[in-house]
Amino acid sequence: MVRRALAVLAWLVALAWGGHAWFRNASLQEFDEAHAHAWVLVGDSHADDVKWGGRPRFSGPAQDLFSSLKMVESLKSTATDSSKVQGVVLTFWPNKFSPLAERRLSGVAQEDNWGSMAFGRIAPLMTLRDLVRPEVPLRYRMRMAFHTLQFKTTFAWWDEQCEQDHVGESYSHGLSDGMRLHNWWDEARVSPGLFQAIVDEVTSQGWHLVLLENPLHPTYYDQVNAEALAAYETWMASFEAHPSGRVHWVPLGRENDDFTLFRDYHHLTCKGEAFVKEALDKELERICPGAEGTFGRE
Amino acid sequence: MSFTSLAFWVFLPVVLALFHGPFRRHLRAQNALLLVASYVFYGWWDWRFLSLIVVSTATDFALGRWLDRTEDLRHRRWALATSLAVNLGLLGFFKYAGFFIDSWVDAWATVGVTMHRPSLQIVLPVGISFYTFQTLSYTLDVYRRQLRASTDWLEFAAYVSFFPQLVAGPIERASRLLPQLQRRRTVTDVAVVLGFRMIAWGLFKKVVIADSAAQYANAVFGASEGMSGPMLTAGIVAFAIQIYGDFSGYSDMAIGLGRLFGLRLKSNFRFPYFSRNVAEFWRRWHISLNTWFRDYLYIPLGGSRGGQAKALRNVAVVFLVSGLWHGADWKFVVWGGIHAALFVPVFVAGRNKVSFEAWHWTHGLRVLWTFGLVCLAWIFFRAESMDHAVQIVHDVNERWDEGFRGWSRMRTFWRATDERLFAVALGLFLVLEWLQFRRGIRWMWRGLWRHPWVEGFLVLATLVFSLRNEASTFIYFTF
Repeated sequence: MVRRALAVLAWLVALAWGGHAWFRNASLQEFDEAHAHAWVLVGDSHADDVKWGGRPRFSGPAQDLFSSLKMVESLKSTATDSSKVQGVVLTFWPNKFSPLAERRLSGVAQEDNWGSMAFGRIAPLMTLRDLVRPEVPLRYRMRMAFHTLQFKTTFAWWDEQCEQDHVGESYSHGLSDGMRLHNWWDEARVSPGLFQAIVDEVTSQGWHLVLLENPLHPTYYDQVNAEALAAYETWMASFEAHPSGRVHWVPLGRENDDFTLFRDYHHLTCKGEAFVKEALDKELERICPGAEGTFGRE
Repeated sequence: MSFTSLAFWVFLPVVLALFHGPFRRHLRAQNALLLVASYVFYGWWDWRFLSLIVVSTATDFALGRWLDRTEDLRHRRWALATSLAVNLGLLGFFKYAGFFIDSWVDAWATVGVTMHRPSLQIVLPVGISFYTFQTLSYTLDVYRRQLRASTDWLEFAAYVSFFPQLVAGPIERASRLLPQLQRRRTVTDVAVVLGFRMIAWGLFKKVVIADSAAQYANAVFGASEGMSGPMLTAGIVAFAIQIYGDFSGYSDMAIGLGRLFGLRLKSNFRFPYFSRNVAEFWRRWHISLNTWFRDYLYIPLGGSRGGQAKALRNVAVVFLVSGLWHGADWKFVVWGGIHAALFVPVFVAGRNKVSFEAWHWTHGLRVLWTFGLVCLAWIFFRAESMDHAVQIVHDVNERWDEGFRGWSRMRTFWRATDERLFAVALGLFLVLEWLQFRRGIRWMWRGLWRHPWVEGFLVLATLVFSLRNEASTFIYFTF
């Protein structure tokens, strides 16, 4: 019986390994194709709120910083001399350092479907090296390794869609006590390190990194802890002074408080997306004038 | 605790280690362990409802002893009536109180009398329909002198609460399971391997097939408005696959778990969707419940004795009660009624008792026809309400020429790779079901499974889909 169990286990491991290799290969092909464009968009659901003109977008709801880092690494690992990539646009906002984000990056199981969703997107890109990397807690790494068995392909979104329905004029959304009542920035342990790793990864390749902060509804700024927000903004501003000169912060968070821009307090309508497009278009043109495939030229 | 939860897979090895380790030489100690483990398993959901199992167990154990001792017919009837009152009373209160009160108020409302509707918030205890029927079968068998009453409360309590089949069956008869709890059990290596294979197969059916099909079925039944007839039909078929994978998967796991403890449980499904008429379907679907109704309701009502009219009445009663057993809602009664209506022509033609015919390829159309009829009834089973079911039936008919309208809504969370994986798994499942149907179950358990890669593949597929799909509970837990 023991021999039988070992034989089954051996087959299980072999099939899992083979499956992972197959899905990893399929995923890396998606990154291969991305090199035909000057800019690649990476991030969470805010990246889905950017009009991106049929360019590659490696994003998904609630995408965490480690997943974004793995996507940047995969893009870098598939780069060849013929790559046209000039830079990466990363959607970003203060909640990337929030208690919820920290809890997820610690590997604590969530009651929602976040584990299946986020881990599934990134799992095919995992390598054995990821099991020993120090940036993320062990428990997160173990969960990630287990979720490689989801066997999903990491893929790029290419399509465009937007929603017209916006919130009402008197809309408000109650933030959690954790975001309102104390300086959560001080408790951010894992996410700043991962963010720094993304910056290092992109700039070391000679690419630009554009940190795009989409507009946020005033109800967010009315409630979010002021000290934490100030610390976040100081931290972000410090990256603009990055020695490479290739890190660019585009803080549109408080640039437009027209309620018709918002589907909820942090997601945009078609009108909101058009607003972001105009601002981002100018910024990308300023950074790489006339680059092939630059935002808005196709 | 669900078989698909992480907690269960920690709980099971501990119980198995104790059962086959320190407790292996002591029958009563093993029964005590099974009892405690079963109560932990059940109490994991809500320990308060353990009291219902204890009440049901104590009542039937005491009444069984009395029934066994006394020859006085009046006393015996009192004992039986008490058992029925307690068990059906528990079931009636926790499962049907709200339904009967609502129906009563609605009935008066139709003649213009408005009555106050009390807001009862009764939580339905998991598996109450299963264990009350199991204890009832014991008392009824003792009453009929078909079974001697148990003299050991421990073995009886372990019989009532045996955790693999406690919450969703198979509904075991005391005459089958109690003797197994009364003698020393020998668990061979072959039985353990077989048990694990059945568990793996059951998990595959539940996690890979049922939970994936559920994504389509839920999308359709959750928002059926505006969907075309073909898409609605696809959703109904998806539900048919879901409920079979879900329920028969649970039964396979229960039977496999029983094997690990040296206990053989009743087979509950025999490839029902390959049935060639509705009567055959009911001899292949939820066998333990149908034989229960046959032995404790149909036959006591007179069965087929007393002429065809009485027999047809008895058939109708069994199907309607069976429908109500599944849920406290008129839609379940209608579901039972549809099956009764489909069963009657087969019954009148005298084909309901024909043993399973040898398969011939020309039976294919009859299988498809029967499957279609069963799916029609599933609409009422799955729909949110009677009105919703009627609307779906109407839309299937009226919107048949609208092509694939609604297809994008059915594909929630699915991408092409996901769909391809599910298509491969479903294809494999159907082939294996067909081959088992044609070649016999032994071919599956003793033949194909001798290759360790098959087990490796099924375990891997289960892991893959359990991580991809949001964990869902078993449908029959709610009955």
